[in-house]
Amino acid sequence: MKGNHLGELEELILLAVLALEPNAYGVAVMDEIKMEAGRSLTISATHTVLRRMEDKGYLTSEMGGGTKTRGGRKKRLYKLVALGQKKIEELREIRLKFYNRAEALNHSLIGKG
Amino acid sequence: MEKGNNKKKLVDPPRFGLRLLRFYCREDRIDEILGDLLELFERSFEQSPSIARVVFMLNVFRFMKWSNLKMSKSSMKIFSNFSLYVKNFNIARRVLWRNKINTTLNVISIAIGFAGFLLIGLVIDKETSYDKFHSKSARIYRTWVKEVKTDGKSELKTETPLPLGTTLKNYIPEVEEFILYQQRPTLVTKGAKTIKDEVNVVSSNFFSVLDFKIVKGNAQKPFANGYSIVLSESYAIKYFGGSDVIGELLTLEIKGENHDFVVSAIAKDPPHNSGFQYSMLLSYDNESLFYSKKMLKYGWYNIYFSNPETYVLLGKNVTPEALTDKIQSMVRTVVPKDVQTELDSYNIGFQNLESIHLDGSLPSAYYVLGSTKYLYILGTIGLLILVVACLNYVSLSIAQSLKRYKEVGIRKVVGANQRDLVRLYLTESIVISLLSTLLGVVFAIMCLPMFEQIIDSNLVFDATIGNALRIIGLAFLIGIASGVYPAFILSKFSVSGILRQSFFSSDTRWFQKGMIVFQFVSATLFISSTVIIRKQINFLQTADLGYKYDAMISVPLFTNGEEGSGPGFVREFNGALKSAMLLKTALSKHTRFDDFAIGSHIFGSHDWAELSFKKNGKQYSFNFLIVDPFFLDAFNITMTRGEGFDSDSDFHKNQGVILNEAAVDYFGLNDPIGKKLPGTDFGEHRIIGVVKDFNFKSLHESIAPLVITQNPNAILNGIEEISIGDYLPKLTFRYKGSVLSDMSPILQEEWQKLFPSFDMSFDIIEQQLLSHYHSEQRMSRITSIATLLSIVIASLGVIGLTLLFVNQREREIGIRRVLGASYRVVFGLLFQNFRLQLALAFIISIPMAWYFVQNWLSNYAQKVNVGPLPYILSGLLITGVIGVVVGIQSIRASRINPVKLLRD
Repeated sequence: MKGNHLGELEELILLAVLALEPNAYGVAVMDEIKMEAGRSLTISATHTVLRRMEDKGYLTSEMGGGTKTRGGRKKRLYKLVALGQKKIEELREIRLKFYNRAEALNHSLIGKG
Repeated sequence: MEKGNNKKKLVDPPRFGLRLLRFYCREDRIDEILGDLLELFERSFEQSPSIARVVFMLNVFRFMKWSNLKMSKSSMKIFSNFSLYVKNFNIARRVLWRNKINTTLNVISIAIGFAGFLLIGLVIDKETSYDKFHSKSARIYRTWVKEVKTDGKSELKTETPLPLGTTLKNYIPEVEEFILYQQRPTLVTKGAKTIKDEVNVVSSNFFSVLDFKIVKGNAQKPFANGYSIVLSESYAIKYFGGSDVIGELLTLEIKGENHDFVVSAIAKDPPHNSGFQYSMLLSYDNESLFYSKKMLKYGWYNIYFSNPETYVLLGKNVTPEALTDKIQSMVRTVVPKDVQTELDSYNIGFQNLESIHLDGSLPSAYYVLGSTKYLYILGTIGLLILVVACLNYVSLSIAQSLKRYKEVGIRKVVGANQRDLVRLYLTESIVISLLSTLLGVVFAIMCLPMFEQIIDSNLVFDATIGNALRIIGLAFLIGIASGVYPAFILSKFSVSGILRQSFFSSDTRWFQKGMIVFQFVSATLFISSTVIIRKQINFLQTADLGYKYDAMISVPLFTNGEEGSGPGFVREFNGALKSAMLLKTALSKHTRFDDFAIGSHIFGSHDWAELSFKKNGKQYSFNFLIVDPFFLDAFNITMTRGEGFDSDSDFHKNQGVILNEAAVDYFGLNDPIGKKLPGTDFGEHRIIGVVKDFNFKSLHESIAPLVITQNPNAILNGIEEISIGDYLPKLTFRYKGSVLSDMSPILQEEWQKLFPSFDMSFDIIEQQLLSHYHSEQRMSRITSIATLLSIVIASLGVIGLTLLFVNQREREIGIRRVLGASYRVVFGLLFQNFRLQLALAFIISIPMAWYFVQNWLSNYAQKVNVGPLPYILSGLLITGVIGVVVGIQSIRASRINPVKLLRD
């Protein structure tokens, strides 16, 4: 199927959702990415990617938890699904493979963590 | 109550942003979006309220995407319908792809029908659009003159009196402008070469009233003076090889004198859909060049063949009817009393420019006329072919639907209702229709040059958006129209009916049979019409005309100065007669040239001289032929009474007159020999003989009274009106060699010796005679093609049906074969489907064909006898074709190994 590959932004968002569960919603994901990756996303971009990930089947969502701060509006909370988890795992494998090879070949490469 | 720290002050985000968001955002997402926006807003509000507001607004705009937009109920519906159609389209696509054979048959048959329809549409488009492109065309009218004579006969002409235009402009204020238009054959000399060509003479405002473009020269004043000539682009190329020829010289012979004309402008060629097919144009600025003083002075009398057509430009919103009174009073004032013999006997009327081409009720002097009858016939043929093709599709679909009963059953079981199915199957037929029309357009473009040749006319295929839309619209129409019935039938299959294997109501069966009958009827009609038209043409071409014209060549001569006495054209004629005698002497040295004759008009020409005179208040008209004494013998024309011309007799030369039988009856002469023609003003003459009637004109007309003489003056004295046509003498001879074209180099050689500066041309009389029947030949070509197409389409239909039938009854056929049935039995089985239809079609089409044919043949004074043979032939032909088609299928069916069939 087309579009099977995860873009960098999409990967980040999936990771953020994973980290924030069960409170992963628009603003929280946006803040998390800003904090951890230093990327400033607009809220609309975040929403778009979240929705797209859900359409692709990597996430599910449900409404829940409106507080006074949001004028009583509920949030849409996202959760990673099996397919999404698998996708993340795959990516992690691939990245690790490359990093290991690079280290083996090039000792000057300094990796964090 | 103490307010805790937890209680945050509720501030409102920008109201406009809220309203905007609520306006566009869809209900099912607004909560989360607005929630997030509010959270962010409140967060940043503490730091900077203004920035918070700005960011809020920005975010509102950022969320304005297609996917977030509200869908109103109706637009939601359109959206969901749209995706439904896309789904249907995909299903249709797969279905069609799986049944390639059937799809191909369907597509090809509709494509052929559509191509034919399209091409004919082009013709009709062109014919109905004559001269509509001029900006002022709605206000331009052509004048006609109708004179009612004392004997009650009226004469309607579009050659108009010379002063008419000026008079109308002077007397009637609503007439803004007038233009004159005329065409005449003229001798054109460039350098050392002279040829006879067509030249137009127009008033100098021709290009400002009509929208023909001047490409080189002064567009405001294309004619510099009375000695200017304007060439159309193709004629500039014809004479000079290029169009940069302003200032070049051409010499034209007008009324016997040569004049030089300077090219002052080049005009764009007239478009094909214009009745003004000009070639080279002179202006009427120098009137006396074209008309004698007498004609100019007495312009209201005698409207000669060389008079122009007069067109007027009326003011805005003026209708000709409103001018009737003014015109009547103008006529009473201006037209001389002895021309308008009685009150209201001289009428002037108008014809709008846009409708001249197709108006058959008025004759035309120069403007090109078309025929509505021809258009109707063409249109019917086009429509018929398209309908036949669509019916093909309908009957094929219905038959194919048998194969799909399982599919329908499953769909219904899974929950499709009838409307869904109808939509599905309709989409299928629309897809086929779109494919077919696309293919049809390709066919049409490919066949365009051949088609243009068949109908003898030039067409323009405008690749405009408008036309593309029209075609797509037609495709949808065809798809829906042909698909509606099968779709309903398919969707009506009830699940129980499917299980019981009983599919069609009897209505459907009858309808299917009816459609086949219709196809066969139209094919039969086409065949019999084609056969009969060909028969008539054959008759026209080979009938005995009353004179022998085989191997006869005619050579037109040119004026070599004027001679003798009488009116201008007679003097020109006599001058040319001298050249004729010279050529005759030169050619008679060669043994193979024989049977020389000289005549003013020749067989195969379209204009014969027509003269008329009055006696005792009665008007007589007759045709007139000037000959040398050898003419009648050369053509083997038999005398019935009296004697022919004796070349030694001076009396015969000066006073001899010969009539044909028709003239004798017409003039009411009992014993014509030795008598004179009725009429008081004729010069001395005596009728010396009567010839058997011969068809000097086309067989369209019955034989008219003809007066033959060597000396025209005697007769010309006594007549009032004359229309002379192409009167210069032609030398005719019979070439006795075996190869007709061998005479050409000898002729050329002798001609060059005598008349080196004149272009030589000759006509083979046999071929000239055929030119009368151009429109018949064209009609024959068209109906032949239509016949072919309809037979092809009907065959496609029969193939499709037979295939399906074989498919359906595979097992039965297999069993019969096993039991020992021969090929013939299988054939009989398959053919049985069509037997009844063929017979029915035959019976229905006979009276229809007979009616049309009688109608068409009534155009001819002389026609062929139509026996029953053509009808029988057409019935046999179509039965034969269908038989062959079914036969091929039955052989294929019989070849199938029965074991394989039964194993299923």
